[in-house]
Amino acid sequence: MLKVEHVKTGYDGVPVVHNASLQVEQGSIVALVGSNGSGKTSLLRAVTGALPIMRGDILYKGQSIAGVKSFKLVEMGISMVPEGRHLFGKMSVRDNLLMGAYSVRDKGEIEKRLQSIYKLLPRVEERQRQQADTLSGGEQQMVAIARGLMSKPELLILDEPSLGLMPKLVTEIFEFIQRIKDSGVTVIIVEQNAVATLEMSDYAYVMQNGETVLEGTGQALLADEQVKKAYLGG
Amino acid sequence: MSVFLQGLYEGIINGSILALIAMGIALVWGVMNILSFSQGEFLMLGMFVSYYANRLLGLDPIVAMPLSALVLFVLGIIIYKLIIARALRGPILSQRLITFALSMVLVYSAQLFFGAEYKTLSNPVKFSGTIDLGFLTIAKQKLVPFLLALIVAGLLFWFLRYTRMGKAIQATSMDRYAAGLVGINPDRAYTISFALASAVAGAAGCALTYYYYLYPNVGATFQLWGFIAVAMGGFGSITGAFLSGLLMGIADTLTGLYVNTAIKYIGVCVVFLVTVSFRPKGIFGK
Repeated sequence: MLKVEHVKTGYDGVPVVHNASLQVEQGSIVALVGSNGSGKTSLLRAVTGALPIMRGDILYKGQSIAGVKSFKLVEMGISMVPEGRHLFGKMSVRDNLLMGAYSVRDKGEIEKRLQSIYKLLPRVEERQRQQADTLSGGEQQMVAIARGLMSKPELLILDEPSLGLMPKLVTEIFEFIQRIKDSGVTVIIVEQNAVATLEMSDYAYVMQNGETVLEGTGQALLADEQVKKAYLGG
Repeated sequence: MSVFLQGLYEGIINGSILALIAMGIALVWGVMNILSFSQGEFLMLGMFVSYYANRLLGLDPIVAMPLSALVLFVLGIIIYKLIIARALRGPILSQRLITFALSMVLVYSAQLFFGAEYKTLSNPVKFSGTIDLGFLTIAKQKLVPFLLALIVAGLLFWFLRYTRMGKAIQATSMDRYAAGLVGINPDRAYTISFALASAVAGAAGCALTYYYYLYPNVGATFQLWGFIAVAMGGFGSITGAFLSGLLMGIADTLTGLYVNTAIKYIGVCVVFLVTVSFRPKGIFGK
């Protein structure tokens, strides 16, 4: 579904990611793990059109999306939930979700999606009138993911969904992601929380110094001595 | 009492033009964090559209208003695409000062093309006369800026709150990056905001020609007071800009009426200073 081929990208002409390749099969969860500053987020930003591709290519359903702006990717079925949530703070939770369906013009369809989100996340429905920046971190993360789902993506990209959340909420978020995958959405997830992420994912890539250095099924990487040493604190 | 009411009324009329300028500045600042130093020049251009529509076609400013708003809207789009969008990719200082340079270009271009002398409408306007309420005499044409300010404030409020584009603009103003991620084209939201602000100034310019002379540098004063109104209302707050504009107009006129016209601007400044002493971020600032 998504293929990243030897991508080099960075900020203001300074490359951060030198050579990253990965492949995402439809219906799977693919994880991207690695230490701070290894280039995970930059790679995602390149995929979603926020950073220029200096070399290599990105193919989505066989078509190059290198340099395509993020607002166009939404219409193609790619949705990204950024690190730090980036909710529209002064809008209500409901309005945030409605903005998520900005590319949809059919009001009935939007309402239908909203109701299915509420069914999935009753707590979000309870809070729908509340201003988004008054929610707790966990709730904000739920709303951010829910907003990402409102465009009914085929590919959902999650950047550090568990960052700054307490363990109980982390479990909740991960269960939620699993349910999203079960509903047929392909998921790419970038996480510092490597163990839980690898356990959940079908396939995973390890990034180091701007390169994808290791890959394998989640289970295989969990068992890998090198990975254990470097990222799992073992 | 009747003198006071008359003064109050005149103050609101004068304040309406400031309110219109200020709403444009507040919109542009609120959405894209650009200080629009060229808002006064858009007002000036609106006045020239009105002047030529009157001189060449015999149109009343009120009839020329939609034309002027349209011309300035289109000009706003061109200026945004050609200049502002590029500056936004540059360092912060050029983002802040680009409209300042733009205003100088517009002033001197106007001087080159239209001449530097003072002008007033040459053909008689049809929408004129007075309404005498006994305690208040209303010059009909002076109602135009006030009504316009009310309508523009209402329309902007409605547009931003209830339309798809308006919501996109609000979302972009809160978080440009996130706006792109939900499928909004942030660049288009910026373009429309900038063009709307200049269209508002264009319409205000038309209203102003009913009772004010025009010359290439006419925008400077209004620009300055418009800025103060924005600061007083709370940066980025359109409602605040609207109310402060009116308040400053009232302060200006009443000081002139009861103290001395020579020092009427001091009255405005005192109102401003007192306001920001108690609310440093402005009336509606957060």
